[in-house]
Amino acid sequence: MKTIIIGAGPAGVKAAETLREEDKKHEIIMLSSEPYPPYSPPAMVQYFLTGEALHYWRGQDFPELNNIDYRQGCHVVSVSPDMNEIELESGEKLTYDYLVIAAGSRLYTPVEGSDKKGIHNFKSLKAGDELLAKVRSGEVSSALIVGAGFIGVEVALMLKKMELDVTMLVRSRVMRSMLDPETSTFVQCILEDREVKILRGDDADAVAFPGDNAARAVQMKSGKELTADLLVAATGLKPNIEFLSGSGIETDWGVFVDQYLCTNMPNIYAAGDITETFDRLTGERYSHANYPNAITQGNLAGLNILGYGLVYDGSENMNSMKHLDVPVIAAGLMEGEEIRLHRNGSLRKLWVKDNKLVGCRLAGDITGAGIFINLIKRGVDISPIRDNLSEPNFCYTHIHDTALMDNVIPS
Amino acid sequence: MKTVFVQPDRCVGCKQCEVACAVEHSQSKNLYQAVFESPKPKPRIFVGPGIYLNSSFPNKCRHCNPAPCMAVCPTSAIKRTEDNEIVLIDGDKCINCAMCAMVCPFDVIRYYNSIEAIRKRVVALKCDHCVARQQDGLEPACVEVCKVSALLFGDINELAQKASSKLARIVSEIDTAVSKEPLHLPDHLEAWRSWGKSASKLAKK
Amino acid sequence: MSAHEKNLSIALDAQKMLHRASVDNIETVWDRLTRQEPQCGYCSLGLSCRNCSMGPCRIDPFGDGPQKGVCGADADIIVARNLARTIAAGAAAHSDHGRDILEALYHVGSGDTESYAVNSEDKLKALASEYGIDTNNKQVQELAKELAWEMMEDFGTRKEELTFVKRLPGERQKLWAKLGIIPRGIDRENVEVLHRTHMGVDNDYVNILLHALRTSLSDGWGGSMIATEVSDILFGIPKPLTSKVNLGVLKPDMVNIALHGHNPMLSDVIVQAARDPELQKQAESLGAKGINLVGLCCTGNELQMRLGIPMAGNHLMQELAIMTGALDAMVVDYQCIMPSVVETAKCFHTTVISTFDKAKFTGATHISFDPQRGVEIGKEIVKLGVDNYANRVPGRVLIPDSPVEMMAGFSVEAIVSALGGSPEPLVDAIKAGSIRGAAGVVGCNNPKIKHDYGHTTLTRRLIENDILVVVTGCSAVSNGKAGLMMPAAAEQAGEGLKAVCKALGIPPVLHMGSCVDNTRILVLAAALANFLGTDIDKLPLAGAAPEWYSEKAVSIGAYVVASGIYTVLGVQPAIFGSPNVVNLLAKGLDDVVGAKFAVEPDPEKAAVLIRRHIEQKRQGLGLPAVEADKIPMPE
Repeated sequence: MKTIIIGAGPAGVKAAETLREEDKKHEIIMLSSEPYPPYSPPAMVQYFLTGEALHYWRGQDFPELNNIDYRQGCHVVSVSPDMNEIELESGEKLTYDYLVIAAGSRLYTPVEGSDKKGIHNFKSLKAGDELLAKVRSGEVSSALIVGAGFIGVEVALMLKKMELDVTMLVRSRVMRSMLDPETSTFVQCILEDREVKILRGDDADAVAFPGDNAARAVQMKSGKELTADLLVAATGLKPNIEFLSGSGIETDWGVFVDQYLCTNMPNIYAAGDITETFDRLTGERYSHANYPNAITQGNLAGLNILGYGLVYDGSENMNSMKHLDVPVIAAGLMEGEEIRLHRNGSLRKLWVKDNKLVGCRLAGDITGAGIFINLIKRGVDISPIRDNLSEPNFCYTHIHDTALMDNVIPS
Repeated sequence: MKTVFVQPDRCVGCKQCEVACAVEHSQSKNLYQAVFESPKPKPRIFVGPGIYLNSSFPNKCRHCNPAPCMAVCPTSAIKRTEDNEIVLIDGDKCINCAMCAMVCPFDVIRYYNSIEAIRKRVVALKCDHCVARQQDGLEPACVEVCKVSALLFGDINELAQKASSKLARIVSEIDTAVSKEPLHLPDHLEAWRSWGKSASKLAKK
Repeated sequence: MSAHEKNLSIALDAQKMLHRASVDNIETVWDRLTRQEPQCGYCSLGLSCRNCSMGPCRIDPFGDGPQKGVCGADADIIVARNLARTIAAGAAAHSDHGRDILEALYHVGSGDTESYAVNSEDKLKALASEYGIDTNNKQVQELAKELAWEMMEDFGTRKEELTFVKRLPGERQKLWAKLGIIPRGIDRENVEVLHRTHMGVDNDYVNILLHALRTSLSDGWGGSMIATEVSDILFGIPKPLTSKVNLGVLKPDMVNIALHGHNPMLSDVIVQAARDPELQKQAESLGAKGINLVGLCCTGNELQMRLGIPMAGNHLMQELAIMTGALDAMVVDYQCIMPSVVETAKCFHTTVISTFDKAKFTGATHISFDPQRGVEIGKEIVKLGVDNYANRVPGRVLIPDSPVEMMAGFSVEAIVSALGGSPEPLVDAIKAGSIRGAAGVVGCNNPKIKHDYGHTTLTRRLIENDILVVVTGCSAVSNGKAGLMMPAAAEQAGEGLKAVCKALGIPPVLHMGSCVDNTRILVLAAALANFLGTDIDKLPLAGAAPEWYSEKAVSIGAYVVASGIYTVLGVQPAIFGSPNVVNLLAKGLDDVVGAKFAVEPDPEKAAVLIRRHIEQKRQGLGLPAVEADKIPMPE
């Protein structure tokens, strides 16, 4: 058996690892568009700040140790499912028995002129290296970041630690899709405490990157222009699906998969940021690009290639900003009845619907995150602990003598 | 495999296990010196309240297998020892991202400055089953100081053989290492517990 | 308001302030309780001992671990020693309060203070006679000095029994003598507790507990009773009056000064000081319409029952009162003042002023109180409050409710006078069964019990069943807020009690004062027993402390039981680690002193326990009674 894995991010690596653990003879080819051994995106900031190569999470020798034919800097241009074949940029063709599409996502910028030179991003190690090369050149002392989502905040704090003068352009509010307004303000205060300048409103609503060849500034809806030594776009993510056009593999925003993470082609699976699965809570089609989902999906795709026939529970909307010393955890929805606790500089917001916990946003003290997220996942009736949820010291132990304990399952 | 068993009905909430755990994970391993250390040593076992007064539960890492924290660690800082199946965190590799905290359903991972990490930076801390003590033939510090047998240390198989002893009941719950079966309590303790239950229920009246 | 806030208190003003605490991120006593949970089981069972440095030790209540401390003390000894020390601390607090007031009387007698004077000559003379002082041809001042001197002897070691023991029925005195628990000297019994509980002294738990009872009696029939009686001499015997209660007594347009604590000496001079025209003028110059004094806790009770000063709240309201943003100064004396008030005050403009050198608060302004310069110091304190009015932020003022009317001032003298000069009408109503009996609902608040729920629910159930309720301390405040302390509340009483209340024009729940004034209840019980020629334990009486928290409350509970009155506690004392001690206090004691303790947190059930007890006592006296078992216990 031979499997080709397109992509060497967490989903691809986990799929390869699972295949190898279960089947020592399985032939595995792994293709990465970037010129590095497989790396872990969440550890990039630590690497750039301290030089510790923790982002090579499975070791730089991961391919050799696991007997994987690893090709870096390798771009796939097309997939031919009827021939079980893919074509590389070099013209080389590779055949497979199974294919795992784990090509990830890239920067998505609905701002005019975003393909111009001089606009940096932080979506990949390559992009990060380029950005950092510029910072280390000593030629830059200020940065302007367009977008205040997860990556925007990540870059802002990283550049601030590198002592740049950092300004963020925030169209609506900080991390709008992930956080409720109050927690969003909490994060904004942390950013401002660390002297990240935040601009909001029409004067911060970027519409274009003016400039002839290279972008020289950011133009706002109000017509006003702002510039800095370093321009960073962090406006959103888009799955890398272009190479699939014409292949017959069904895509929309991302790659469509069924409950086994299989595409409309029986031997082609997808995992990680590129997939468009369904949300575990709402059942709606969605692409929650986060690390834990990538790992789960990579693992499941690997197991299902081996014939386990395991059903995916759905992707989870959750994230943590703690690695940037921003103790904020967000998971699930922000609708239904709100439970709020504001004590000792920490904020806990929970949302309950039909006696079920559906979402949490924790800032400051993140104790309880694991139990809240587990309860959200299990979708169980939380009536026995309903009144305890707003207590300052609510923790796992409150449920140890309730029926809810049976729903505490490590998975 | 040896592990720490929890009998929740026996826990009286004295938190001595927390103190012993913090001291065991200090530089000096001495209570009176440990309180002056920097960073301050932290416990990895947490005695929290139940939903009623006069009830409590010593909560610690169950060393799950498979362990969700280990699966999501983006730097492979969380590993399982091969010999005695303890899930350990390598402080030097931890980037303090809290992915593990998000997926731990028992909520037993905390983040503090640690002597186990380079530059004593903030990293994830959790129960290590007192690996070092076990190598010296000692039981974990929390078990040693627990005077009410809410925490027991032993080999699963040995405990299973003691089916007729008072420990028998916990054996059937080996998978989570927590006894769910209520113990028979002496009357005066039953009275103490039931006061807590009635007093707490009043609040909802 | 969230469900959580409503679970913490039944009082609307408290719920609204808790909501503000939540929104504004201000810590309260309830937050600290949840942060403390779980609380140590060894300690709450009474099984930990820190008395010596061979320890600390603890006993495994499950029986497998250590069953003896290093010295060899078992659960019984450790629990008994701890309980005795708790009682000693409570008795010491009350008695030291009594001594402070007694010293003021001595200053009056010595003529070296102008701040205090004898207010009730009748009481002075009556007490002087009781103390065997020849009152003929003596000036008030001379008498005050002689009485103070004699009362001081009650604190010492020269007496074989405290003077007030003579107020008890002869049978009770004989019983105590037989048991060896007649209190001798107030300070002596306390010191002896500390001696006996030192390692290697008293190692018989029954013997320790008997001495603990004796120590509590040195409080009830000693220190507290002196505090009550001498306060009456100096500040007047309370008479029924109508006042107001809840946080609504704070005024948005006046300088608000809260007087918090227990000792009326300081607050009395502050009331005098606040009348000073200079200070009034100064308040007006800052835009205030005057100076509004309000009470908190038992200092509040002392002021309310004698002067009608409105009451802001009880124990758990102290932080919440500050959170109104309307309090310009909180003047504290001592006991039950949470150290946290200083922190809460930092969130607002409130100044916390401590006044007793034995009760300082880091972060508070300390103005040392000296009874010889009382009014002068009082003015200095009021001036701080008035000055601070200028710092008040009107936008942050949130007065959560409008005040409720309540009656106060039912001293024994006032009750007897309401009855027409003799306890006979009350005794007749009890004999006839229109009133089944009487119960004292007293004690503190405790965040473990829903605030005011225990007091008001128990009180309601008792009056509905024709049991006359007398209240003191925090209980008086909660029942006042619930509207149960006006004559109109008679409508909520059973038919028999309603008729009696209406005939006399009194509420079914009578305010007898502060927590040292529980001695008024003792005096009333003794008077009823003497009138009937029997002992107190034969009477259809009961006591209850549904929300108690303090060491003083343990001492009160102990002296009430030792005096022969059945007592139901809402919160567990730290004794459950010793089945023997529990059995003694909850069963065995009945055969020893004719009364015992019960623990029941649910006031609905506590009410039934009390009703059953009262019916049994009625039966014992040959009065018409209901079969106790026929009263169903709620689920």
